[in-house]
Amino acid sequence: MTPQFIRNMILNYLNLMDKEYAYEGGVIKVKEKVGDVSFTVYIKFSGKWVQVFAVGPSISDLDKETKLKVLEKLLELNATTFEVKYSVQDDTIIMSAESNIYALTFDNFYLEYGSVPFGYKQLIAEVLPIMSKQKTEEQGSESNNQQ
Amino acid sequence: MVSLLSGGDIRAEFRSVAMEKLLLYLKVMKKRIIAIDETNGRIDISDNPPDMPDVDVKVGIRVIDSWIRIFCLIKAPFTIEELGPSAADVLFGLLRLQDDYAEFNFGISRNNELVVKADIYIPALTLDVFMEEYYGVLNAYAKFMTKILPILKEGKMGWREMMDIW
Repeated sequence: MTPQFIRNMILNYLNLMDKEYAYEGGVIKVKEKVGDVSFTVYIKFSGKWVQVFAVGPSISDLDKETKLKVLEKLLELNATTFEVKYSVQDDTIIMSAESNIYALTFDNFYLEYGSVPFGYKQLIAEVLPIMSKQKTEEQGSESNNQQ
Repeated sequence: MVSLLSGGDIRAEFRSVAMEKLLLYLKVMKKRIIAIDETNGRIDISDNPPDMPDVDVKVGIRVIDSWIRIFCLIKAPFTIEELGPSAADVLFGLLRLQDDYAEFNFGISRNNELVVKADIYIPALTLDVFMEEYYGVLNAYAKFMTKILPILKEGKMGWREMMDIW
């Protein structure tokens, strides 16, 4: 299977799924929305793998304690969730799912793809509250200092 | 075609087909099965990780709903406290590593176990896919145990070192 063949298969699948996408520089970018939050799902091809991923928030500004809680939560989600995988790249949270090209069928792709927006939803529900708690505490201490 | 099977029957049928395929693949791969529970979709294998000929490791295979999970237990219990001041660095390293590798991922279970695992969607189960994921997990286990864990115990591990070693 050539990369072009795989790309065309995936573009066909995305058409069947009524997704709005763009193909730029070897990467497919798909518009997604979870609740009020809009984000992009990226699809890349590398060797035997098709990777579907979304980019989450940066953890670089978190204090040490909050960062530890966030990283621990991501590893817990990895153990309890099927398919979508949480990882970090350059201090940024990534949600991804990989499909082996030998297993590339519509059914499998549909599921792999869907696991990434699901991962984003889970991130909003379970990880962002840990991160926003720090911000709330920071704002609280700032207003205390001003008083 | 209208299925005459109810939800529970379909799941049982799915599990039964998956178990049948898994047992065939494990036979073809000449793996030593140490436990089978066909009713609950559980298979345990005893295997030698790469470069660890004297070590027997248990590889667990579980059929859960539409998924097959392959996993190895790395450390139990795994607590953040025991990692000391480098805890955030170690967790970051685990999450950073799996960004580079498609074949496996690390997780901390509800029972505080550090595991390396891979999931396969049952309709995607073929021998090629199973072998790729099975050896991905086993290789990651071997690398972690031989190269990462000894340094982790010394409390000198940073995520960059983890990446370099891997």
